[in-house]
Amino acid sequence: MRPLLMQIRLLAGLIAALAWAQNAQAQAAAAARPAASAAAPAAEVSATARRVYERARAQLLQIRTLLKNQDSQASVGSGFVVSEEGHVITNYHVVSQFALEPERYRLRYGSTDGEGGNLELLDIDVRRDLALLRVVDRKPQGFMKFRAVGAPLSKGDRIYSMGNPHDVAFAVVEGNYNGLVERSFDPLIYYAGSINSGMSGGPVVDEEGRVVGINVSAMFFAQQMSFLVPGEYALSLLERSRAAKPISSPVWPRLREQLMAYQDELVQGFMAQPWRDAGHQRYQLPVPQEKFMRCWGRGTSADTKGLEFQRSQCRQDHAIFINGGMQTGYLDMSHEAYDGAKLGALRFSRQYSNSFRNERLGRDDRDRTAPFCKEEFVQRDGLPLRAVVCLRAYRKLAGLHDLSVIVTTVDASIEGALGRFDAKGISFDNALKLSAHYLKGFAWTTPR
Amino acid sequence: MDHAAVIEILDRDGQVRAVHKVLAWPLRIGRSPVCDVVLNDPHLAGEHAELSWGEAGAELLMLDSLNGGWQGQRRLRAGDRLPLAGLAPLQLGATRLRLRSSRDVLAPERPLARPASARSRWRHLWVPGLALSWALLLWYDQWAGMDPGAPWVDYASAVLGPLGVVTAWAALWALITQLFQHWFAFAPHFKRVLAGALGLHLLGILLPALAYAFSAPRLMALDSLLFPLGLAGVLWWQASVVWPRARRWVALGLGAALALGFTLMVGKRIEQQYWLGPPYLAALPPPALRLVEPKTPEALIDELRPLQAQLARQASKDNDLPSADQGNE
Repeated sequence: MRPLLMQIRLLAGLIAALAWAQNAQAQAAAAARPAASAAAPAAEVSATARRVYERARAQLLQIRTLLKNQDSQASVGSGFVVSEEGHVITNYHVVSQFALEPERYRLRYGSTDGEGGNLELLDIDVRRDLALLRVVDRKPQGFMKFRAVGAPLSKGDRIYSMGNPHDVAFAVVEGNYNGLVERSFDPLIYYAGSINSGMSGGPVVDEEGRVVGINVSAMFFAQQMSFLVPGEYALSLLERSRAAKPISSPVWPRLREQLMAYQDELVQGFMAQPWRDAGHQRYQLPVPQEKFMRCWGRGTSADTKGLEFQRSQCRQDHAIFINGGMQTGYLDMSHEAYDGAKLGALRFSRQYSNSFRNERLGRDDRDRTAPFCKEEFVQRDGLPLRAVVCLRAYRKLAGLHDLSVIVTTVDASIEGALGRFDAKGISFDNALKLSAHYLKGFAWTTPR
Repeated sequence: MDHAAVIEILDRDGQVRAVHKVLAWPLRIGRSPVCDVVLNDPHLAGEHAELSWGEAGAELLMLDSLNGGWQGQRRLRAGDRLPLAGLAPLQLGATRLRLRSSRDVLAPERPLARPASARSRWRHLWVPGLALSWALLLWYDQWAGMDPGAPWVDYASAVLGPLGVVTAWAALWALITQLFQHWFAFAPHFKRVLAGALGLHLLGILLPALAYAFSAPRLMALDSLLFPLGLAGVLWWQASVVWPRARRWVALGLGAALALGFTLMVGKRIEQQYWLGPPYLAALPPPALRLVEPKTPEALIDELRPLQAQLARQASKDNDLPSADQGNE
């Protein structure tokens, strides 16, 4: 079961053609409808959007990743100029192909008046999904300013997102600020407005045209649920790397350094929280605080004839984008508590084993090794457990690992619990610490 | 007749297909009715060769023919005359034969492999016994996997399906035996396949239980070794009914196929932690089966430490398989 909350990065790449076809249909449908509202007087808010766009259009850019030796675009996103020297902010995932393979790709921009030129990459902040670029061959006209950190927006404030969705045309989209996403480890602004692929990295501004956030992702199968990186992180990236030298080699070492620091903070923050009570009669099972994880639960219906179970899954919804095939930097855990009273010991054993066998650990691929595991019977306050701990190492991010811990209780013949903990992109030491921490979450509710 | 002798006609395997008693010396061999030994071989002349008894023993004289003959590597042509010593086979036309006389040492009488007196009175119960045992195991498997209250017909396909496949398999082998041995050997084949299926099934139940009892997950590596070996063993056992004299060759062929299969399997799993067996032991039999004391969580964490270097070594290798997952499942 996957959690209901899924975010997609708004990078217009291969999916652009499909999206275009859908858009074309939508346009045709819109054209067929009589323009009933055409005669209505223009609302004031639209005038604001026009004003905001007019003010920003000279600084608004489309960021294109092109193959080194030909003019076909591999992906497109958006960006905006933030300094007199021509510094540009966009998302890391917009430029990740160039950042990871600078020998194969190059970066170009397109302005709202149709001009274009080259860009160079100065720095990235993979945790916040940001990148700092610089225009190479043109003196920009003005730059966009950030809204002061000390002047927070209120829920409902109108804000305007800009970018170039699906490589169609530059667009301005009205929406509302809705505060920060709850239960998120890193702050992310919940923006009630539509942002689409290709708008990634574009600015979101208040009514005075000051940047409050950067378009980053939207939710699958949801309406007007979009997410922005708070502007302060872009500002600190600009300040940190304003004078940095252009990047010409793959950014793996920088990624590794940033991910190492991030995972330390994440693991410390997670381990500082005590486990919650799972509410099970026989077992204490590890359930995290819902501080930066979101939990869902379900169970079998009351009239089930066979194995009864209750399942709980908690997971961080926001992952860190590395490249098109890999996201990392999040925790995910679940447990299932089984009651086989209606089955008897032999049948329970069979179905319990099948659940245990069903756990997937992944295989070796170009980013990560195959899982390497250790398994033992361990005892937690008298409760015997079968525990399997597996690790996969990242090939290009030395020292980072994916951890999977699978634990089953083995004390009863018609009752049991199966827990699983996954941590993506953590150091080996943190993997050991988290494994020990997770095992500590298991015990009997009353000692036997 | 002082010099009693027979002419043995051999098949391609060197086995005697027909025996002609020598009634008088000399005698002629060929296709013609005037010959003493008439052979149905179109590659023979009417009168192909003549055998006679001289002082030194039997002697062969090649008569006029197109194809002549061979003794070992030696080509025999019309007019050739040679002594026949020992039991060396001879080829005339396309027919292999040899002369066996009272001078040659007679091989001792061989005892019967399974004399009737030694056969068990219960031998007829073997096949039904095996079939019933396996059917019970299949039934148990299905029973354990289903929720209580499932209708009895739900067991039909799980029990009858495998039994049907095994019956068809035995019938196919019986047909092959009919082809080569002129014997519709259904019962021997059925017994062999049933024994194999039952053995492997029991192994599939006992091995995980043993691995669990002693917390020896690597025992499961045997699983991936013993199953192919068991299947090959059953195939060999069946083939030896059809081609009893080719047992060694069949074993060699199956052995080579197994070696190839294992090589391919290991080649596919070269980057895995273990070349054989599942990544972890997934069996959870009832708790009474656990015979070892659990360890402390710290002991498990300590066991993990060597993985760091192993993983770092693996991570330094190149791999072109695309990343399959975005999440953990």
